[in-house]
Amino acid sequence: MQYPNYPTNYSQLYPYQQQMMNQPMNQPQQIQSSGCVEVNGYQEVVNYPVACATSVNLIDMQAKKFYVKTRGFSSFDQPVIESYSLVKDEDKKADNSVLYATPDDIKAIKTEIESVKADISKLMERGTTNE
Amino acid sequence: MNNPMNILQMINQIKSNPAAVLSQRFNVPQNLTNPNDIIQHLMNTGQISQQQYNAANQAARQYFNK
Repeated sequence: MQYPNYPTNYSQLYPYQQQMMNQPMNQPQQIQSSGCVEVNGYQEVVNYPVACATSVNLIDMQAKKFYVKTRGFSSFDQPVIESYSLVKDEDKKADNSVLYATPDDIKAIKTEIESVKADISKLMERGTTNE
Repeated sequence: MNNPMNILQMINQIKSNPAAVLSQRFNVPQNLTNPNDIIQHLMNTGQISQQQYNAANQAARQYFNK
């Protein structure tokens, strides 16, 4: 007995569902970023043309500065410049401007405080006996 | 366009007033004289992309810093 040709794949029953799944999702508008551009000085960064919805990375190796110049989605938007300083890790480690007390320093200060306290108490006792 | 007279005329125009020919060809307003402003206008109108300008700028830098 021959059975009718029932659809075994449910996508045949619901073609619109599969079409919706196959459609690409609308990407939200994103700012595109490009590679790094070498510049000489901040004025060159200010004068560097940037297209709408674009972010450009600029680097000034002489002044050790890194800039990110971003422009909004409208041609009337003024570009925003973020500047960062480049610091070598080796230079960071050599920085000893912040000093911390060692445990020996704290012990010495403690013994000095104890001796000063003892002197004060002796003086107070003498003061009360003289009265 | 392929007429040699037209090409010669265009070359003569470019020699005499290159800025005007560029303005006409790329619809750049006459009041823009600063190269960076012209490039910004071309970017705003979508005639050039940021990547194209970056590549051209880098090539020019390398050429003039030889």
